Amino acid sequence: VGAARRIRPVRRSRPPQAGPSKPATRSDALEALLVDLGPQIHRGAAASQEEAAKAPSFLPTGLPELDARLGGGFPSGRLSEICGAPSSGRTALAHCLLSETLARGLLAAWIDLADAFDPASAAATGSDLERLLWVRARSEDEALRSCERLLRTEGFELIFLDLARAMRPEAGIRDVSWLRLARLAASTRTTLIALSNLSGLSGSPKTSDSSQVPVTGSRAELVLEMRSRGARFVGPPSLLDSLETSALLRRHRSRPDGAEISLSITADPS
Amino acid sequence: MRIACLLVPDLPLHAELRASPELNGRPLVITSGPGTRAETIALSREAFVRGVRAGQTLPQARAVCPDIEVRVASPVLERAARETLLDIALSFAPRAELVERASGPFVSEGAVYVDAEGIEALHGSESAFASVLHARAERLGIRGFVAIASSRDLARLVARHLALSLHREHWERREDREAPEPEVTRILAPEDALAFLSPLPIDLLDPDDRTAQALTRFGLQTLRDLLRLPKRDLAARLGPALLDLIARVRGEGRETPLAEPLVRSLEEGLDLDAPIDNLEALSFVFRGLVSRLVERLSLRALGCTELRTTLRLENGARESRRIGVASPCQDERVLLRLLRLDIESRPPTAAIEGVTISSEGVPLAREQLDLFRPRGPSPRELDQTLAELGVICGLERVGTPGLVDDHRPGRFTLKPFGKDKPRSTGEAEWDRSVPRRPRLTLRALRPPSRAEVRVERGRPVSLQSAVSRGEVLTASGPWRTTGQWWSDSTHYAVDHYDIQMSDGTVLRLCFDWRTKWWQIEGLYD
Repeated sequence: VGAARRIRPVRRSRPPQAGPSKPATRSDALEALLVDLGPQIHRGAAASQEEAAKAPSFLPTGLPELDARLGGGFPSGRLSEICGAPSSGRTALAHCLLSETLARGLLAAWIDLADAFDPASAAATGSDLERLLWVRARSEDEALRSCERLLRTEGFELIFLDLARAMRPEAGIRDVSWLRLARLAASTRTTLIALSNLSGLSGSPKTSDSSQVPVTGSRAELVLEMRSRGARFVGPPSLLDSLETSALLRRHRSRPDGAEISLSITADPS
Repeated sequence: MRIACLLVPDLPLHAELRASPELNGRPLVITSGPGTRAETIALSREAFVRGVRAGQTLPQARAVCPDIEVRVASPVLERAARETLLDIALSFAPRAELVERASGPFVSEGAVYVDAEGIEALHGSESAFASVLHARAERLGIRGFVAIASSRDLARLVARHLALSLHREHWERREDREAPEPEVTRILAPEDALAFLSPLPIDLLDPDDRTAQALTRFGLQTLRDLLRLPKRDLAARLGPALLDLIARVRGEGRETPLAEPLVRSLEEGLDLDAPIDNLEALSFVFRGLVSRLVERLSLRALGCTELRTTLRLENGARESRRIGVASPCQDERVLLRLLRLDIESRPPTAAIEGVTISSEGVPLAREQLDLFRPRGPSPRELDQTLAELGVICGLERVGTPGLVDDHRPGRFTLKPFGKDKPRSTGEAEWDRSVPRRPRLTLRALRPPSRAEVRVERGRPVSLQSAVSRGEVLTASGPWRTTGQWWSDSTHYAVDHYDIQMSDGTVLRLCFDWRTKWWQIEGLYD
C-alpha cells in the first residue's frame, strides 16, 4: 500500500502516452520508471554483494568536526568503543550516532546492561524509536548472548553494548569474547559499539592516564575517550546549559591517534 | 455423499511407535496398565507371530515370548496420535470428523472421517485418493486402512472389516512369502454395499452386550442373517437398539454433512520412563516432541506462534511455560533452540518425569519485502531473533522503547519490536544539510539511587551516595512536579535539581515529598 501510494504521483508526472517519448517495450518502461523512482528506492533495498561492499564503510555521527577526524564516522562492520567517566558525554555522542543511523531508515539495537537508556533523551535527540530495539539485559551473560544473537541477524546496522554501569563494577568480559563479537560484526557488516567506563576510573573521573585501558582491550578498531571539562550553568534562575567535553581519539587503526575535539553538549541545541 | 474412513485398529501401538520409532520391527505389546494383571490391548506383528495375543496378561505374553518389549498405554501419546489422524484428514479436505473412542473389543481403535465428495476431481479416482490417504498416514508412522462408502457407518464397517479380517489372515500366513499383500483400501459403491456387507460378521457392528447375547442366542452370525429377519418383530423382541444396527447396515441412517473443525490447538507429550535432570537428555526428548509437532503443523499448513510447555516434575509439581515465537514458524531447529534456551534460562526445580508441548496453529505468513525501505532483516529471521532474545532476557525486557504521556519521572513503555510502522520512511526524511549538535542526555538509574543530602538555606550543599559523593558545586532547581493529588496511592510530588558535583559528575537529584527521600534519578552524560 505504501509503495502504491508513492508511485501514483510519479505516474502523474510521466509524459503523455502518445509521441516519440512513449517507451517502446516493457523493459524501456521499467527503465523509465526506475529513473523516475530513483531517489525513492533505497540504496540498500536490493543491493548485491558488490554494491554492499562499495557502500560507505562508516557510520557518521552527524557532528561534522568529529566525523572529519574519524575519517567519516565510526567504521562499519567493526567493533568500536566509546569510553570515559560519568558525565563525560559518552551517551550524548552515542545518541547522536543512533539518531543519525535511525534517520537513514536503518535499524539499531541498544543492549543495555547498565539499564540506563532513557527513551525521553533519545526521542529529544530526534531518534525514531520505532526502529530501535532495546534489550534490557540483567547480566553480562545475557548481554553477551543477546549481542551475539543480534550480530548473527543480518539487517541491524548499529548495535550498542552499554556496559557503563554507574554503581556496579565494570562488566568482566573476556578478551576472547570481544574477539568473537568483533568477528561476528565483521561477518554481518554490523557496527558494534561498546559504551564503557575506563578501567579503574572511578577515583579520578576527570582525567585518565595510559594505565587505564578500554574494556575491549586491543580488539576495538576505534577507541574514543570522552573527557569531561565541566558543566555550564546560566541564569538566574540557574539552569544547566551544557556539558563541556572533549573526545580524544585513543586508537584508530587507519588514522593517527591523539586527536582531541572539543564538544559542547547543550540542553537546547537550537 | 461419499465419505472416507481412515481406521487404525491398534492406535496405542502406533502411538507408541510414533514416539519410539526404534521399536519398529521388535515384538512389542501395549498393556492396559502397569503390573502383571494388566492385559495386552495392542501388539505388533512381530509379537503376534511369536504367539502373543490380545487379551493375554503380561506373564502369559512373556511365557510365549520372553524378549518382548512392553509399554504401558499412554493416554498422552494416544491422544496425540488420535489428533494426528484428524490432521491427516484435514490435509486433504476441510471437512473431517474424528470418531469418538469406542468401547469393548474396539477400544484400541482410532478412526477419522474425511469428506470424499468429488475427490476424484483432485486425485483422478476414489481409489487413488484412498491410496494417497493411506500412504500419508503410513509416512507419519500410522498404519491404517481406508474405506470409502456412502455413509460414515458403512465406511467404518468396511475399514474395520479390512483391518480385522484380512490383516489378521495376512499375519497368520507369515511363512507364506508368496502371499499377496493385504488389502488396505476398499471403495464401496452404493449399489454393491448390501452384497459386500452380507457375509460380514455381526460383531463388526459392535452391538452392546445385551444385543450381542440375544443375537448369539438366536443363532444370527452374519449381517445377511440379520437383514433377512423382519425388522419390526426383531425390534419387538430385542429392543429399538437393533433397529439402529439395521439402519446402519442398510445405510438408512440420517447422514449429516461433516463439519469443518475449528480446533487448531496441537499437543504432543511424553511420559518418561525415568526422571531426567540434565539438559542434553532433555534435548533428545524435545527433539522428538517438536519433530512430531512440526509434522502435524506442516500437514495443516499452520505455523506455531507460541509454544506452551508443561513439565511434570519428580517432586509432584508442574511447571508451565510460554515461549513466544513472534511469527508463525514451522522450523524445527528454531523451536528446539527456543526450548533449550528457555530451559537454560529457567532450569526446572526438580528432575522431569513428563513433558507436554502444545501450540496454537496459525496460518503461515508470507514475507513481503519493501522496495522503498532500507535493507533490514527478513521478517522471519527478525521474529526468530526476537523470540530468542525474549527467552534470553525475558519477553518483557525486549522491545521498542516508547514515551508515555505522563509527568511522573522515569516513565516509559516497551512495545513489541516491529509491530508498529516506523514514523519515518528512511532517507527521504534525512536532511544532511542541517548539522547535528549533541544534546544533554540522561543516563537513568533504575531504581533511583538513595542519597544523603545536606541542605543549607533550602539548597543541597553536599551529597553522599553510591553514585557520587562530595560537595555540590552548582545546583539548579528545584523544579517541582506534582500530580494525581486526588489519589493517595498514585499521588506524586517531586522536586528536581540538576547539580554539579565536586567529582565532576552532573546529576539529576530529586526529593520525594511523600517519602521524604533524596534520590538520584540519573546522570547527565
